[in-house]
Amino acid sequence: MLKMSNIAKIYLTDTVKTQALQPFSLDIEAGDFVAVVGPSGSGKTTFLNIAGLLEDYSEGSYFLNNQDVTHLSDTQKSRLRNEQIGFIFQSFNLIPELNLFDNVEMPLRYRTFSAKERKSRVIEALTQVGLANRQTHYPQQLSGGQQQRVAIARALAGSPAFLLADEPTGNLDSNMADGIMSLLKDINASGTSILMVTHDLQQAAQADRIVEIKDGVLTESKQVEKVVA
Amino acid sequence: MVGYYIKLAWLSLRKTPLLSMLMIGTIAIGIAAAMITITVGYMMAQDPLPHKSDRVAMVHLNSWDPTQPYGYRRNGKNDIPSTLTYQDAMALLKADKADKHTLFAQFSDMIRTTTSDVRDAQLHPIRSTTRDFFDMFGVPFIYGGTWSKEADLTGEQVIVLSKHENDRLFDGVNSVGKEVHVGTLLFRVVGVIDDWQPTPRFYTHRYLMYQSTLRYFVPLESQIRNALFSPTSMGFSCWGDDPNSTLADLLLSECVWLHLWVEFDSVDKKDDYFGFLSDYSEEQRKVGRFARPEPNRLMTVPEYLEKEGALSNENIMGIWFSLAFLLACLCNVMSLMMTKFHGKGGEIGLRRAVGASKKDIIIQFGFESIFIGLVGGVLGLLFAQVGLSVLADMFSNLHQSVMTMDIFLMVGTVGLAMSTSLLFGLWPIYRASQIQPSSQLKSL
Repeated sequence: MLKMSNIAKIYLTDTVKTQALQPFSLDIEAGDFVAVVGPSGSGKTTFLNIAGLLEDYSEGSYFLNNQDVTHLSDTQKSRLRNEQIGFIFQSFNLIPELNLFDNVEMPLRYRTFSAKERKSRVIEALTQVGLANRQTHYPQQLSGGQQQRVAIARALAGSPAFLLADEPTGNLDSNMADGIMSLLKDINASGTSILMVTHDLQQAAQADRIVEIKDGVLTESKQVEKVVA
Repeated sequence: MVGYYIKLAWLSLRKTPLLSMLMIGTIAIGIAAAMITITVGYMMAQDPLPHKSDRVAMVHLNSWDPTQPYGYRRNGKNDIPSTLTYQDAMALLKADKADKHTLFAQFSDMIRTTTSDVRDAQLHPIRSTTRDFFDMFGVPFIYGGTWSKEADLTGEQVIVLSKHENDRLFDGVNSVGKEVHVGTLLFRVVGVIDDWQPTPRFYTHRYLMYQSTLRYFVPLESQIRNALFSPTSMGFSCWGDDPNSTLADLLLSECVWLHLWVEFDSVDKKDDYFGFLSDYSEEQRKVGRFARPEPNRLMTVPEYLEKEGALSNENIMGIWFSLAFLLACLCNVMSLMMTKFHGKGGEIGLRRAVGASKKDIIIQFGFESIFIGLVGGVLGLLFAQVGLSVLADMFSNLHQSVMTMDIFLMVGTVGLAMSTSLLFGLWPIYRASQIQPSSQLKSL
């Protein structure tokens, strides 16, 4: 469902050429739970942005659900993001002046769903993360863990094929982090692919596959235990 | 989706109240300043007879002193009088070559009802005219109507009152048939006109165009037969040695003091009438009059307003200055919008990540700009109303209609604010839409 071939990323300025990601190839199948690990500044977020169509790559080809995304227009990429990808961020990225319902509804606003369909999907997503009774609350009225659940509900509301999670537990204490990981595993078990960037090797060990990025070089570990060890 | 964008615009304004107030206030002040001057200019420049202004014309004959040009110069050239001598006015009236004729002057006298004490009499300017005045200039009646043709010929002592005076003298009841004293004479009321204020009051001199219409109207012939003469208010201009200390003197003199307006059923007849005026001047030349070189004129309402400079250069400059001020305000608003939209980089990044295209971002912030313009426009409209009422107090000699916005201007004010806000928001909006989402996702 996600097929990257010889993808590389180079940042160019007038005087400096920076190779952020060396050419790499990666396939992710439906239902995969892939963890991306590596030190800070290694290129993890760049990789995630390319996977999420938020950033262009310099070389290679990228097929998402058998669709070549290389030459898509901004509008086509936006539609693809909206329909196929759900984003989860380390700092939750909820809009403080919108209540939970409106936050979760946001991606659906860019689709042609009826108001009734949007409402049904929002309530279903909030129910899935255990916050259906708090839809009129505002983000600042929730704990960090609850806010991340809302962000997950927002990512799930559009029924995406896969979730991109950038350090989803990075701002949470261990109890809350465990809860979020448990939720992500449940979501994955229901068939949604997950690509998760994390610093936490214990969490990475809960994934099916681990990809390691170091100095822009992406390698996939065949054995999860080896990386964790 | 429109409702969603309006909701987002409202929430965005509330999120940064100080910045929002600054933008709205700046637009409001700029719009108010512009609309105050535009309102005055627009109301001054309106066509007061839109359905027939090209068929109604004022007669200007050059009967002035052959040795000295008329005292006024216009555009560097000698002007000619816009009023006529009595003998010329009557000759043209009797020739009856136009479809309608309105001849008028004015005088002042004391007016009271028959039941009021003589000490309650008030001095008023009175329009002495012919019966076509009301029809030609579209004066609406609430009671009665204009006087008869016979009254014009015989100088019958009849009078038409304004609604204001009818309210004052007769408590607003139908006063047709009642009598009022004009000086020592009794005049019978034949009509009461409704509130009527053409803007500009095109049929008279420039310096009177923005003052209130007169409140009393009597047949010109009644003024003449009763020798109603008030030299300080009649506005006549004389040359030569003719005596002019009585009305009888004035009638025989070369003094100019009567306005003559004519109306034609079709525009084509205007040329024929001008030919008639030329023939008349030629005849007068044969008897030693009309010796000056400047030609006669037959000016339609728009031509006369332009000649009189109804909208002065000062007004036009004022409009340009206020528009320049508005431009400066909008540039400030643009800068504030840049700040505001830049501060929303995190939200833009998030919305782009969850599926909003650049076009969606442009529409969202476009709505926000329009919303800011709408609130600024409404506030600017209020400021403009306050400003206009202050101006109306300061220039109480001008009629209030010049300082009053019509519905077109009110809608235009808000529309101008919304459109300029959007126009000057385009660059900040474009910049916002170009924000790289991946660079902003950690800044929400």
